[in-house]
Amino acid sequence: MAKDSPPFHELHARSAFSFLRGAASPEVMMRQASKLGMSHLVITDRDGVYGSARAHHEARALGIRAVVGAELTLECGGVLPVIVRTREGYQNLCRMLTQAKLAAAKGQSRITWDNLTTHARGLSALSGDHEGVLHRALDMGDKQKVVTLMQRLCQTFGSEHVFLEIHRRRLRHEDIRLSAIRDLAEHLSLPLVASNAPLYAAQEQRILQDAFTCLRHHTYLDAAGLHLAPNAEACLKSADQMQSLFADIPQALAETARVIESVEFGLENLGYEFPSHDVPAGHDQDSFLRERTFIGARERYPGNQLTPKVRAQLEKELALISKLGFSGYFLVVWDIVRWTKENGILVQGRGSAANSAVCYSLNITNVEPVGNSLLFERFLAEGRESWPDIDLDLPSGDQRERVIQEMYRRFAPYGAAMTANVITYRGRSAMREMGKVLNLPQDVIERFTDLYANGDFPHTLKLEEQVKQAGLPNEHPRLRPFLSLYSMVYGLPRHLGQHSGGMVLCTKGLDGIVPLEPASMPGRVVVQWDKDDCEDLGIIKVDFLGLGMMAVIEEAVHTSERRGHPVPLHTFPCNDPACYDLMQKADTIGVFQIESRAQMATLPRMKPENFYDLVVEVAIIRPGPIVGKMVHPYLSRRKDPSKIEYIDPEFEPILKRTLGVPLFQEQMLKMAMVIADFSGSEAEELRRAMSFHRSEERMDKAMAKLTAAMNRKNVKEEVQQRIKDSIKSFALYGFPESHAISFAQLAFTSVWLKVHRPAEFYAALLNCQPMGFYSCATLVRDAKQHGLRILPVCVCQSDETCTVVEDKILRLGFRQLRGFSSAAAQHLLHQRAVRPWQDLTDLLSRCQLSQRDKRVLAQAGAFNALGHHRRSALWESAVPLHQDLVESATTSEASPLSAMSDYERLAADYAVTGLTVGKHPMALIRDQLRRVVKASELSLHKNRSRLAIAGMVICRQRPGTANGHCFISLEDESGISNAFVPSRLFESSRLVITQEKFLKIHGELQHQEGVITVLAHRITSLRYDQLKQARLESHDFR
Amino acid sequence: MYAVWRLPQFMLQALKVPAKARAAVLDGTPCQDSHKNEDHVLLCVSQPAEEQGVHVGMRSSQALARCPQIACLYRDEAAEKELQELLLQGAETWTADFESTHPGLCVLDLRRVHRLQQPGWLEHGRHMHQDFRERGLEICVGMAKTPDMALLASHAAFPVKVIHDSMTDEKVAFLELPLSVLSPPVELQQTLSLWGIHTLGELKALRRQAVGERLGPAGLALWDLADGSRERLLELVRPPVHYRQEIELENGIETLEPLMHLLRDFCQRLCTQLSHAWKAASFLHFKLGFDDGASHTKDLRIAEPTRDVEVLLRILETHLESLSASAPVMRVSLEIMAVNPSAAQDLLFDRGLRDPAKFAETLSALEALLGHDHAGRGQLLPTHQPDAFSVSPFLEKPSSTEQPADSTRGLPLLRFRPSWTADVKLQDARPIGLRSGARDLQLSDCRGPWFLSGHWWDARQAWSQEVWDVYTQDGGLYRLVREKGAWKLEGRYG
Repeated sequence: MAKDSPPFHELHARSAFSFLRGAASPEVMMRQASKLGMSHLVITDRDGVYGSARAHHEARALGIRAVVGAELTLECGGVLPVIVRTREGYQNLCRMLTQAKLAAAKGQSRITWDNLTTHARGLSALSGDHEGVLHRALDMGDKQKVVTLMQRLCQTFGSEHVFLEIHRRRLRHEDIRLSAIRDLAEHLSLPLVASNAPLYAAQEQRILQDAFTCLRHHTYLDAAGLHLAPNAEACLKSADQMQSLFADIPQALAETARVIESVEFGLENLGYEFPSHDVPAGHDQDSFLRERTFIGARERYPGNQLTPKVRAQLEKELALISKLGFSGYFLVVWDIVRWTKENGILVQGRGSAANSAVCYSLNITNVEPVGNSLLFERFLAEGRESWPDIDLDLPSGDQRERVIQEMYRRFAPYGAAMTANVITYRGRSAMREMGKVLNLPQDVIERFTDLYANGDFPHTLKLEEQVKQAGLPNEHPRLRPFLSLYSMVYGLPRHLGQHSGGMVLCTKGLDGIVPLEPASMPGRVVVQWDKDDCEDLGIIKVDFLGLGMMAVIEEAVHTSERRGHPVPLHTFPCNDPACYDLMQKADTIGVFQIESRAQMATLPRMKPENFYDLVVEVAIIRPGPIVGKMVHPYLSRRKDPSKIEYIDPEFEPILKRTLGVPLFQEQMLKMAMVIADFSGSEAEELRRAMSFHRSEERMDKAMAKLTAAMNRKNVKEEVQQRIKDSIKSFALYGFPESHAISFAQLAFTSVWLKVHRPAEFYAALLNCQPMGFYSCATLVRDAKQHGLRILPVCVCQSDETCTVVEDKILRLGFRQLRGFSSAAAQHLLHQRAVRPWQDLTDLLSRCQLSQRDKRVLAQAGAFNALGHHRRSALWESAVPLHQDLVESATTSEASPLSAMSDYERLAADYAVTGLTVGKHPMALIRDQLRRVVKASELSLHKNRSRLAIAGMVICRQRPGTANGHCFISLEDESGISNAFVPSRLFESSRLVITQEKFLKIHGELQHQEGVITVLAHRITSLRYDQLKQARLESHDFR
Repeated sequence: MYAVWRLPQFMLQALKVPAKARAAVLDGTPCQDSHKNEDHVLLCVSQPAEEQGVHVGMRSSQALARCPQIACLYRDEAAEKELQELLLQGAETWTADFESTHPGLCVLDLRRVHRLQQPGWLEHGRHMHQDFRERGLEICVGMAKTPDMALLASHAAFPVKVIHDSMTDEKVAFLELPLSVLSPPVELQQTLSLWGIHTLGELKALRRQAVGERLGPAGLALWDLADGSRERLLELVRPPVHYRQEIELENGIETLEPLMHLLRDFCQRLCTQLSHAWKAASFLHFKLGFDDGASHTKDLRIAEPTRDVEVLLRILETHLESLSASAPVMRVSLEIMAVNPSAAQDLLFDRGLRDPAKFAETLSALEALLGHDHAGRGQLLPTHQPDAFSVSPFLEKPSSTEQPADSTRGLPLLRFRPSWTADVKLQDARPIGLRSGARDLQLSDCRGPWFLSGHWWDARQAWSQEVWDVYTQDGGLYRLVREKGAWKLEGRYG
């Protein structure tokens, strides 16, 4: 930029958070701005500040400033870009958007002039681009209306804060519009500002913007015509480029600097205050927290357990909490936990909050941190850039919703909202959307979707090859554009969802901090930022996480109590041998956390004997430890203690409990504190820098700091390397120890219930589906294997849910029936309560069920108790009810239909309940299978023997840590057999594996330390044609 | 006697897929419904693919898992229509009374066809089968006293089956046929499947009244079909009336005059036919066959539908005046596309065209002069690419496509067609002089550049232009364009 040239700042840039109106992420926009030598960039996304937090964070890292703005859709449909000058302006913008969003349908926003007038202070307005209010008015050709509009804007914002925006994007005739705007500026004495109104960072991204335009107009490129951009000039342009474009109007460039100079606000001055609690008179937040903590501590540490060490820890924590201004937040969480418990809802704190003795004393968590030597700094430390949140586990479903609604009620209006979840373009969605835009054949798109299921990690194939396999040949003229578009769109925001449980709180109105908008779910409100954005901006949140297992435990406990077998939930001993026996046998289907295929493959080798072993088991089968190759060292050291070593002798006290293998985040923090003299907050910052969504630059910076500190302490190069490797690997997904303990507690409770209250446990499991790893069919088979009898749905006996009939007998409920309406079930139960059914005709005449409901009941055999087999019930119930006195001529006749065969019953069971209480599908064809070994008989065969297994596919997994290999679990009538499929075989049999419901796998038996797997050599489909209509479900790539 | 022709694997046969190929037909067309997230399923599967476990209703991925060599093709509506036409034309050669309620299915009423006599029915059936085989098509022929029984017979035919009243055993064999041969509605088939009713015999074993009570009229109709003995009227197919005249000449015509006499005769006859049916001619399909084996075909659109012989003749004559042939005309055919006479009049006291016939005549003359597809209405395409246009016939209603906003502004541009290549001298990336052909032009000023680009998603059609307006010292104003590195003068303003 020449020295005397006027400066230029882009005031009207859009990011991909304008959803289909911008093709670059806010981070990329900021990086490009920095590269072009800009000191400021205003991001004005459509109807929101969605990308502002990310832009702010990136800009700060780059040493430039991201100015907040937004494009507002007015009630006339025109768009008005505004720029935030002051904090008041920011609050006005947020409130204005909140009101507009909450008054409109999801995804819509219309700001009224009244709303605009009320909230205009602190904002500057631009006249916008071709979608802007001014251009729309000019298009109409009524000059008086144009003048009136601008005068209205001047009255609203003040004429010194209204700017006429002019553009030059290298298009013929655009100067005609520009000259009209110049005339207007002169007439109204309004300043002109130059802008390129960029939609993307660099010219290459124009193709993605064109693709987005197609998606917005529900068309494809060949048909989009004039909707597409005429050139690639809508990119971010440097001051030099803009000066050359506006050499004749230098004042329009200079004016941009004046606009930027007027901006005082940045997101670092958000004005967020931690929530506070209403405390009794005579107390402030700190004193009341102190009082509640010590009252709780005396209950939690009865007698002499409240040792000086515990007291000292509590004092230390309270002092820090008070210093950081967190007391109100702790009290808010304490109060909601108290409310939850008073309302009979199970609740348990987890995550790093369990490292806090204050949380334990306030009954927020159930893990005793002092005795367990948990590191408080993992939860809270002075000098940290962001604040931790408290995660509360609640039973999933209605109970959790009650708690969430209570929070909305307490913080109403606009004091609480869920954090957003930014849904991004990933493999299948990117393929589907870009495929549509390029008008690729529909079957190619569908096949790609089938081949590369969600969560499938295609390490072994390049995208080009994947697309080729889906049916798009290399020479296809649209392959190259597709690959470009796919890579560009991958990871960009697609739409905004809501986080599963993260809720942000603010006593003084959250709508002044961030715009709120309705979620798809009725009664829910979300903020425009996701949890990381909130965290980065210091907004505190509580995670209300729904755990299916909490709901199972809650229901099982209630059922047990009702049946006179209360469960000593918080007091049963964690050393019950029967529970560990079940774990050692990997008989853990249905229990919490340790039921997955990988967990079950480790349990027989790990052989947990005590509660801490379970904690390790929960933590060790995670991507972090697996990638960091920590699983095998731990297991081998467990087997042979002579192999235990500690990287550095100084680490022995830290790593002793995990046999020298760093497994927990707390251990990593402590290692950094010991080896590099890091403070608690420095160590935590290191951990955060390593976590997966952070930038490489930030990681490198943190690692350099660690290396420098270790160099200062003369740590050996080899030790340094091992420390860095372990930090890098498990920081990705590693558990805090406290979190592992919390989960292990739930895992143990579920194991205890499975062992000691099996009927109640399985009934609750079936009622809480979908959850966990296995389908109802597998759970029922497992229950039967544990000696339980499962009775089918019956119109005379069933309740709405599964019920326990006797200690070893369960009855399926009406809810298990697919396609049977809940209203019909309620009505049926009501009528049955009035008086029992005399016969089927009595039931049909009293219940007035729809044809569909009758058919489902008959198909499931629910009428059998009334003297009918399934087919005769179908026949009988198919006659329409005659309301007059004329009886059907044929109803008195016996059904001419024969009873269903075993196969037919099985197909009917799977069609209406997704499971069978009768014979397993494989049992019916067992005699047709030659040389196929049952799951239960695999242990009888020698290691490395060649054999074949067959069954219903219940799980296909291809984890990111497995280098493209795949794990398949097949279920037969005797149990589950597991197969390991090498990546090459997976690729050659991909369609067979992903599309077939029954498989036959030939391979070599691997029998090691009680873990049995078949190393697959050949995979074929098992053509279970008789059952081809049975809807069998498997747990795929989840 | 009734005969039923059934084209098995109709969709595959329409696509001319060999019977031995592993192939299937997918629902929809390649890019249809691309904005709906519905999966496409197989509608028709060849026998070899079926043997590999592929069945109707599967998705293409599932089919490929079972049968990696399978070719999954999309339906071809035009080909299916053509095949159906062929089937109907074939039926027309046997009888005037036939019905076709499903593609690939035709029921022929042969009762009044005297040339077909018992006991030669089997022979006739084989003849019918052979007729189609010669055209590369497979049909199954069933013959019986009732249409429904003939349909059942066609399903049991390999390739021909004739059923007489006395053949009780043969009829029993039909009881084993699956219900799907009757193409029942999906919901009905699902209900029957739940009942364990999979064959015609099982359905017939149920009392008709009981079925009717439970399944309603659709169930009764299905029961009757399975029974096959119902007498019913066919839903007859009536072929459209063709307005066509043709003649094969003994002696060739070498001049226009006798040809026009012949055409006048044709036109008079055809217009009489048209007037009887209250129709008018909108299109003439005209074909000449020459002594040397060559032929000349021409479609002539008529500006305003008419049955005025003189008008039609004038149009034909205008076209023929510009035609020269190397051999005498031996065959003449003229076909008229008939429409209802126009009831619309755009203006109160006048028609849209003052003399539509004259207009059509002029167009015909223009086309004869310029060549086919070179005369018509120029229409800008909805793209940012300058001068991208298509030619549509004058007499077709122009499509209302959006025009680029810029296209109507500024000075008129006299386009050079083709544009003139130029060598351009640049200074600071701006043109200061140019040479085009023998002309050296000194530039006094220039405006631009403007950038335009598009169709980037297809390398074969991608385009990108840098456009300048240049003022020459002699006062000219030109449009200068750089495309793919080459400069050209596209036109002159004013």
